[in-house]
Amino acid sequence: MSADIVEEEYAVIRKCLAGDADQYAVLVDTYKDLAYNIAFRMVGDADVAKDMAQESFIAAYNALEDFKFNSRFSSWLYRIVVNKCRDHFRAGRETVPVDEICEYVAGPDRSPEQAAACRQTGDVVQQALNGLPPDYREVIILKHIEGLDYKEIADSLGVSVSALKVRAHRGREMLRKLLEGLGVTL
Amino acid sequence: MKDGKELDKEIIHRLLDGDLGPDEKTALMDQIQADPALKEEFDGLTGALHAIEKSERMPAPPFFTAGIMRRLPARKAPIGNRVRDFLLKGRVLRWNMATAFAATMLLALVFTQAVRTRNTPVETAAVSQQEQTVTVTMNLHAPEAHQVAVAGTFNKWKADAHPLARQENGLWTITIPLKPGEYSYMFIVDGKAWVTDPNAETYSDDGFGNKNAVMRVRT
Repeated sequence: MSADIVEEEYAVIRKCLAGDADQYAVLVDTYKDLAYNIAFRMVGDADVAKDMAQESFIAAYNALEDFKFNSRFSSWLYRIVVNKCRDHFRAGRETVPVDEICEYVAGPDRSPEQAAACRQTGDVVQQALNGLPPDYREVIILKHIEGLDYKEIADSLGVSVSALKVRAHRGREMLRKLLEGLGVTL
Repeated sequence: MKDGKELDKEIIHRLLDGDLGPDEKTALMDQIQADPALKEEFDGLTGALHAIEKSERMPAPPFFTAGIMRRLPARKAPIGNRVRDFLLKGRVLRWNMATAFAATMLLALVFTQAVRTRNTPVETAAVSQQEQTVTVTMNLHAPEAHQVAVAGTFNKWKADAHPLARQENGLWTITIPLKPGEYSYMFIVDGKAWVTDPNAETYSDDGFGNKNAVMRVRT
C-alpha cells in the first residue's frame, strides 16, 4: 500500500472524527471483502461471518478516537475481526462441530466412498480450517490466505513473531493431516 | 532433544516462512530430492498450503455497507464543524402539523407585510416558493467510476440531468433542492450501470428484478 493511499485513509478517518459519518462508507467499501473473508474462514458460517465482520467495523468506528495515525487502518481492523471471532468462540458459539471433524478425520474405518462424499459436501479447505484450534487457524488465515508477513500479523494480534512461527509450524502440520484425512491428495 | 527427522521438518518450515537464505535453500532442495521421506514431508506441507492459498475468496454479501452505516451511532462533531454544517449542509426537516401550520401562517404574514411595504410581490412570491423546497445531498462511493449521475422520479429518470461531483477519496456527491415527497432513484455509473444507493433510507422493487432506492423528503 502506497504512502498516498495511507494518507487518503487518514484523511477519511479525520473526516469521520470531525462528525462526517458518511465518509466511513469509504473505509467499509475498501475493506469489507477482506474483513468478511477473514471472518468467514475463522467461523466457517456465512451468517455468523457477516455479523462478525459488521460488528468489527462498528467497533472500529466506535473506537476511532483511539486510532493511532502511525499504522494502517487494515492492520487495526485485522485485530478487531480476529478478536470478535475469538469472543465468538469463547462464548461457546462455535458454528462448526470441530469434534465431529476431528473424529471423522481420525476415524480408521473411513472408506473411499465416505471420503468422496465428504469432498462433495462442501468446501474441504474450510472443513480442514475448522478443525484447527483458533490460535493456529488465525495465523494460517492471515499468513497463507491473506498473505500478511509475520511482522504485520504480530503488530495486529499483539503476539511475538517467534510465537506466531511456532503456531504456524504446528498449524501447517495439523492442516496437512486434516486435508489428507478429508481425502485431499497432496 | 530433537532427532534428525524433526530437524529436517523444522528446516522445511523455515523455508515456508521465507527464513532461509539462497545457499540454505539450495542445500535443502538437494537434500529433499535425495531423501524420499523428506520429499514426502515437503510435498505434503506445500500441497496443504497450496490448497488453502488457492481457495476461493469470499466476498462480502450485498448491502453489507448499508447494514453498517445504518447502525453507526451519532458522533458529536467539533463546534466549528457543527456551526458550518448547520449553515451550509443540506438537510431534511421533520415538522409536525402544528409547527407547519404556524410556519405557514408566519410566512403568510411576512408575505403580506412585504407586499404592503415594498410592493414587490413577484420577488416575495419567489422566496416563498423557494422555502417550499429542501436541499438534499446524495452520495455514492465509487472510486473506479469516471462519471456518476442520479436519476429518479424527481427528474423523470433522466440519466444525464443530475451529474454528481467527484471528491478526492472516490466519494461522488450532489446536493439538489427537492419538494417534499417520496422519490425513487438510482445512480448511473459511467453512463450504463444502474446502481442502487447502498445507504438509502428504504428500497422498493423496480419491476425489473432490481431495487430502487427511496428517499422521503419532509418539511
